[in-house]
Amino acid sequence: MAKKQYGMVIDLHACVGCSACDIACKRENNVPHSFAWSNHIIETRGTFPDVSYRYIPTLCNHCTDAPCVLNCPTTAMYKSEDGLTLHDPDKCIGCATCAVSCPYGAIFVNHEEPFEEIRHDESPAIAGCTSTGAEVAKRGGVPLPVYNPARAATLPGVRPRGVPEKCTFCDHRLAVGELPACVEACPAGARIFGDLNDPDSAPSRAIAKYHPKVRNPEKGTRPNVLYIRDY
Amino acid sequence: MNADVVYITQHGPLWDWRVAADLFLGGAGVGALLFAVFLDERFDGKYRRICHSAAILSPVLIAAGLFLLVLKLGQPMNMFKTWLNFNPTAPLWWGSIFQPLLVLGAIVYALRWHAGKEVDSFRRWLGRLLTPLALIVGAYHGLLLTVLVSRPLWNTGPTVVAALLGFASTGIAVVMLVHLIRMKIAGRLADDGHVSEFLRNMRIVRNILFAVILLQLGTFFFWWLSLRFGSLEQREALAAANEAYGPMFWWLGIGLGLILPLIVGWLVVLRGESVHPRLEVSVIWVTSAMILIGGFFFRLAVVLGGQVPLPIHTPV
Repeated sequence: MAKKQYGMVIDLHACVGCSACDIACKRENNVPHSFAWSNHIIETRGTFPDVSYRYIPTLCNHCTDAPCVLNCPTTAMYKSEDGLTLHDPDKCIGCATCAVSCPYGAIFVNHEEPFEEIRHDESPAIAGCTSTGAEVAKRGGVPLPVYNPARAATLPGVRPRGVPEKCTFCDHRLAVGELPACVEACPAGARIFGDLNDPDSAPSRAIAKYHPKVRNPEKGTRPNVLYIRDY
Repeated sequence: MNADVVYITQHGPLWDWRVAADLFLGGAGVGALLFAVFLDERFDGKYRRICHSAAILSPVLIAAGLFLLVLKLGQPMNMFKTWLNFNPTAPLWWGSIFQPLLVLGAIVYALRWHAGKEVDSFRRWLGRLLTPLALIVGAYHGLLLTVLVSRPLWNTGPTVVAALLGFASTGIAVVMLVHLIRMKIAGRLADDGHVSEFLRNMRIVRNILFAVILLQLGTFFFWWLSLRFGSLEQREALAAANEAYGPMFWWLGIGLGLILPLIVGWLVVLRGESVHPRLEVSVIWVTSAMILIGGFFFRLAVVLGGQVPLPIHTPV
């Protein structure tokens, strides 16, 4: 049997553009506010009254021929046994070649210490009534007031300054038999996740039924995030 | 039909002036080394003093470039891990192997020149050994950008050629500038005999520089052609880079760094013996400085221009 290749099919017909995936990802992975592991393209086209609006969810494509992996000088960016594109901060020198290599802008680099503004937030939302972000984090014994410790199972809970970060398909959740947070959170069932090498898996069936497309096929990266149907 | 696209990407360039400085200094160092080896091989000790300047400059410049690059790294203390992990598909990995090797070799080469022997068979042998290594490091600086399929401005063949040729011009220019400074300090520029001999020796250097600049201009023209009449993405990349860094590229990189030195140098050649030797020395000062300033800004414009966000094309 072929090796496992995790992938995701995004049904654009089902997607309602609610951004629940983006919020779930932020919460699950402790993603800094200016980064977007789970991202989206909003495209407004035409002139009134002949206009169209499209919302296209995006994330790391976990490419089979990932340029970030090919160009990483230390193999910090690597392909896992089950086809995920992952990053090992311990090996990383912070050269940002992975981020420069990615044709999709899916890799973000922490030029500064992440969450600085929250860690040092000394002003409560309502003076005399609510605690500050820094106080909440301190009481909780966690780095951030809103922090998911489960993320730290396979990657630093908050990534250090100088290293890149990106979607991992929630590898820490996959390791315990759960689906990625964005898939769980999608109210429309627009994200279909599974093993693309298994012909009976839900994404494989979706691919067989529709004509899937990928982002920038001309780049030759063979993305494992595919899109089906559209308006 | 017009389209407005909103997409969150990282703000600002990921590679900044330090990467451009590494390309510039590393390139000039490689150029200086090749220049020294060429003069030693071809003219058998005739250009001993210039070779000495070039050989000493070479490791200093390459190491300075590497130092700036290390400063740019997010985790510089992890630098040694590059040598513990094998990734032959990454040009940066090859660079991390070859560039320090070249610095070490260039230091030994410089020390042999500094020893002051007129004819040194070991030095010549080492020069021959370092030549392919220097060419590999030179090509690596171009390959580093060329392999990035995500950056259409860099992802073209002429990028590698441009990098190699750029090394030759800036390498020669930095050697000339430093050599003139050494002459000035030693008081040799006040001696008419020394100046005349220096200018006579400079003719071959000037001709090499003219040839390199013309080749560079030709390469840039093909680079521009491949982008201007290339795919939609390449045209968009050229337009975006032009809009953001066009003046830096065209006026400083091409105009000041290549065309102006070529014109000024050519005018001196046309006027021949009627040019006063002092004026000719001044021209070497000025044109060398112009090539170096232009060379840096050319690289800066290319490094930053290649990272200008491009229009997003939706997948379906």
